[in-house]
Amino acid sequence: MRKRSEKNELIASIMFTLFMIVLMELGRQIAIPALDSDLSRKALNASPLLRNVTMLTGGQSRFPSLFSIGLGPYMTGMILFQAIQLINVDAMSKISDQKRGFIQRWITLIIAILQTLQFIFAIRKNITLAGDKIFGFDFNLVVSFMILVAGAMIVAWMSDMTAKFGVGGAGVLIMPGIITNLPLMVFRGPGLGTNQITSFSTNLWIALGISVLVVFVATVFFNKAELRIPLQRPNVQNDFSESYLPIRFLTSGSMPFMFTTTVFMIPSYIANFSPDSGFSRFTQAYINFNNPVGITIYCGVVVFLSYAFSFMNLQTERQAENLKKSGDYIFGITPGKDTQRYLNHHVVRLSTAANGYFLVVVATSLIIGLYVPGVTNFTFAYASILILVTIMDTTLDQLKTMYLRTQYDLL
Amino acid sequence: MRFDFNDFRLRKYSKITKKILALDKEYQQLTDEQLQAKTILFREKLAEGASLESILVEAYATIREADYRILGLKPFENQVLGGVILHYGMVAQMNTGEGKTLTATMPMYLNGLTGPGNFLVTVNGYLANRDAEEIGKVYHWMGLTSAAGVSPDEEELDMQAIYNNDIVYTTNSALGFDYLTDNLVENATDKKLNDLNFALVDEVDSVLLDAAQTPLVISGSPRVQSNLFNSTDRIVKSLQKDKDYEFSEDLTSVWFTKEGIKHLEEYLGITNLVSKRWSDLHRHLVLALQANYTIKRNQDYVVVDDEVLLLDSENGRALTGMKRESGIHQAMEAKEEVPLTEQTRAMASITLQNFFKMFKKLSGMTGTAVTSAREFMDVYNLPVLKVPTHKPNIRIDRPDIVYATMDEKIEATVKLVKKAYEVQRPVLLKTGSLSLSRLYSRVLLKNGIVHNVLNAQSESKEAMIVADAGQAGAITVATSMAGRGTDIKLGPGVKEKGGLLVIGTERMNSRRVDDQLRGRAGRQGDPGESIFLVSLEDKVVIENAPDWVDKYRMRLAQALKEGKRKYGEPLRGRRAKNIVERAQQAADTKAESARKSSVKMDDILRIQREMIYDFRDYVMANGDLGEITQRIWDDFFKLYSSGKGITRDKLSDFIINNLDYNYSDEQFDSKILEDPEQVEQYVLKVAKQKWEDQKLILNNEFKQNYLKRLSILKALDVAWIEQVDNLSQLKTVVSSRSTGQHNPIFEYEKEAMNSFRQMRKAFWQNTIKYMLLSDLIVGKNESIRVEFP
Repeated sequence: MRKRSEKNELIASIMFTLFMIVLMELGRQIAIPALDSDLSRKALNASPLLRNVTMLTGGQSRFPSLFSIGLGPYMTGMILFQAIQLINVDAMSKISDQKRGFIQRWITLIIAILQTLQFIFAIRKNITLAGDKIFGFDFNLVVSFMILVAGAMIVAWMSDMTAKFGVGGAGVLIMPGIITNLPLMVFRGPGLGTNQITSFSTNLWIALGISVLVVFVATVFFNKAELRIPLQRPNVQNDFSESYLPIRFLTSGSMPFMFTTTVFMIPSYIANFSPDSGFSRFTQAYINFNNPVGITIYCGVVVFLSYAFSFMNLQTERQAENLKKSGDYIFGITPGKDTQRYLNHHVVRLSTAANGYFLVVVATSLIIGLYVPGVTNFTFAYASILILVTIMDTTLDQLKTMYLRTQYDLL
Repeated sequence: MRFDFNDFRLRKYSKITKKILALDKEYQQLTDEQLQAKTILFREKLAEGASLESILVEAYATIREADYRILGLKPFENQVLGGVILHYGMVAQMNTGEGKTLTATMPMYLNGLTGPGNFLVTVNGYLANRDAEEIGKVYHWMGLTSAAGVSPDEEELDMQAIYNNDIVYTTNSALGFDYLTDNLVENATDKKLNDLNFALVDEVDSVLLDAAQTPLVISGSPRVQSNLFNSTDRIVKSLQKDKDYEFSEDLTSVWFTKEGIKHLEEYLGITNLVSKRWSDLHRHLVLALQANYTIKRNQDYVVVDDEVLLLDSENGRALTGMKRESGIHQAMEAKEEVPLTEQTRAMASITLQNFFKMFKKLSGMTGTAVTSAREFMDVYNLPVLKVPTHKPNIRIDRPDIVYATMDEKIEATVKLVKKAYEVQRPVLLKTGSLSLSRLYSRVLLKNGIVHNVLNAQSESKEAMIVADAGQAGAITVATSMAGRGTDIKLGPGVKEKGGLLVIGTERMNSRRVDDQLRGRAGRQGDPGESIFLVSLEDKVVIENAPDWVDKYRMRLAQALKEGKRKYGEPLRGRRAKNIVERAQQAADTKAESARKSSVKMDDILRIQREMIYDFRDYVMANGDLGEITQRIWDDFFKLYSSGKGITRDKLSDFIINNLDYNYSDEQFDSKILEDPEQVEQYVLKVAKQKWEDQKLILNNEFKQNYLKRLSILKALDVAWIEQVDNLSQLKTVVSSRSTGQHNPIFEYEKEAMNSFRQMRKAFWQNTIKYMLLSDLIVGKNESIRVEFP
């Protein structure tokens, strides 16, 4: 009887996750009534930034729909909150879970509003005005604004529910979007420069297939790799399982890839507001993948974000402090500042190596793309693969633990 | 009218209550015999398959009338409502003085109709005995059986007989320990507890939340003792604060500075103290440091008769038989220069949380649950419902008065007590710890105020003092939980003076504990007053307030020196009040998240424990163990022979140590080492031969089975002890894994599985070993004594 209950739990959470994914997909298909979907489709196609942001964060920007904004606000909110935590660990650790959720939700709401404004700005010309005004704004405008924001908040709630009752956390909700958008990515790229392709030669198809496979295998491997620093714990007497401090090889996970393209495109986006300025000319000339400068900037963004997320994930200062407080230490290293230095050293070493891997994956095809049209877009396929692998890994990890529970048997 | 969700949820139960009250007239007409006959009637109905819910209304009306005839008390509407809620497996919030004891008679009677396995869990043994004796009369009159599960004096009780009663009044630890020992017995007939059917937990918040983290542990199996405790203690005592070691801001952690480590290295004449070579020495130094500077005498423990006794942080009572784990207890003993006790490991353990989850139905009552309603729901799936008070509460809860320093606070407190003492108004003064209650007692005496002190005395004596705390002129100094469960009834003339005055001298770590204290005043619509005098130097503030409060404190001290601030003047403004309020919230949060994560981790322990205990029961109950042992043999030998690197010598060693002492490998053909299957056949053959030898003595099926059972149980217990120990250590081991973005709970589950597999292997191996290598000594009349290897 006991075994059955553990098995049921496993099945229930898988079902719940699938249910959420279906809901998510449904929501993305429900068009917002007030907007002309054909016209806005075109407008949205013209905004590559939007497309990228929403694709990598579970949104949908082919046409305006209930969940067009996607998980973006939720994820950005989480990351911002982590960043705040990094700055002020002490104050944050004293906030109750409830309050923390509250603050995160507020951040999410604000970002959702900003993202919705941006979205509406992109399709502003295609909104059929109703004529009735509410507080000086057109009725249809207000309605679509409200629906989009509400959709983003529902998605945030769904992510929380998936994290609580499902498997794999919020990540699994992004997965279907990334998979369905993969072909689009390969053909159109992020929409910068002249790399829209209609068809590949057979050779390119083969190259793409093989390289995707290689990146996939390599990422699965690297994603599992970690450095384990043995820990000595005075308060534990146990010879059977080892105490260690793990540092992942891909310390930053796939987070840099979720945000690189967005960060890369923001300057051009800002430049749109004053098309004739020097800044605008600069962005038009360089913020794309048709020239070495643009590629260098792009790679620079990857490297920068990778380091930033590494330190954000590891919080060496806090780690060292916690070790010191509990009396734990690393052999040969004095607790406190020395330990922090030691950890920093390893984080820098590992994320530099990881950056090497990232750069190989990203830059190779970008550079080849300068000479062979179409190859540039491979980069974005790789980026999606990286994200998929990390999400799948967490999901599988959780499934495995839940499965383990059903495996207890004495005979 | 304000919409209240609580009222909405209460509606269903109010309806039932109305039905019960409506039967009142009818049941009053019944003769004693007719009323008593109802029990038999109910039991017949239940036997026919009726549900408890279907007879609830009549049963409640019956016991209500019985309460009146025997005790002279009839549960009024709110109590009936509380009783109904309790039957449906919820937490009923009822204020002190609302008659929780009487309320409990209704659900206890109803559930008691089903036979043994129903428990009313009280806070202490004194209350269990008192209630079992007073209230028990009603059940007995109604034809049910009931008893107290704890002995009023230290006398041994026949627990098997006691647990055969329909209703047992007991304490959580008594019940929990009996459960644990039940699962260490060798014969099914030695088991004491029958069924865990229904538990009604009094003061449910303190049992399921405050005390939930402390596991009940049966210790045994000593570890290897180290002799470094005393020497490291002496070294640590000679160190200088802030130079050799430092404290964290909240003063709860302490560590060696870099300089201190250098100092120690010079002193000990070694290099690199933090290397692997000196890890054991370093471990003892850290333990000595923690024992000397963060664990305080008379606050965390007391020394009685050369023995270190831990104190319950809630009520300041000494916890006999409890020990801190992993050597810290020995470090404390070295600090106090008392003889060191043996380091032990846990043989069996269970947290109260997990224990109470095993009941088919759990409900609870308390005066303060609403603030933790969310947690009750999350962790125990227990909804909390608030039962309206019988008479409106007219107690005056004054806002906190905040002082800058401890000294100012104490002076103000004494002034307040003095004022009340002069008009002969009773005062209950609550302090945060045992040492503080002594301090306040001294100060009061100096001021010529006669008072009672409640600390770590016997429960019954405490109850008597508390019962008298409402008399005119009574001043009572107590730690927070002392005397709970006993009402403070007001003496004559006290009402006119404003009723009982409750003074809290500091905020505790949880809001609920403070609310419990306030609840001591103003029972059943009596007048009363509660006030907290707090300071910025209180424990809760120092441990939980943000860093800037430190500077704020210093500024206040400066202001005092410069004459800008008058000594003894309370701090005004929201700021000071917020500091205390937020510090308490932070403490609450910390405790809650610690509880939540331990619930998740304990879940694995629960799964493993349940399976081990089920298996144990199965082995004890089952006549023929041939099939089980057969599977163990097959499993183990397969596992063994599939292992790598088996050589001739290793195989011989293995056989001599586990299968046959007299084995010789003369006829051994080394070729079989190449094929695991042949190795398996070979060891199986050796084992079977040895078993045939054993059979010569165990000449019938029954005797063979007897050895099998003993071997399995013994092997299982040995392996499980190790496992319990491992799992508790694992929690700390995995705590660092989050740096690799691993979820510590997943990691814990993985490691727990590994550890379980190792345990299972040891279990198989030992079962076989005990079966084959036990000495069988034949005594008179063919009895056989088994001596394990």
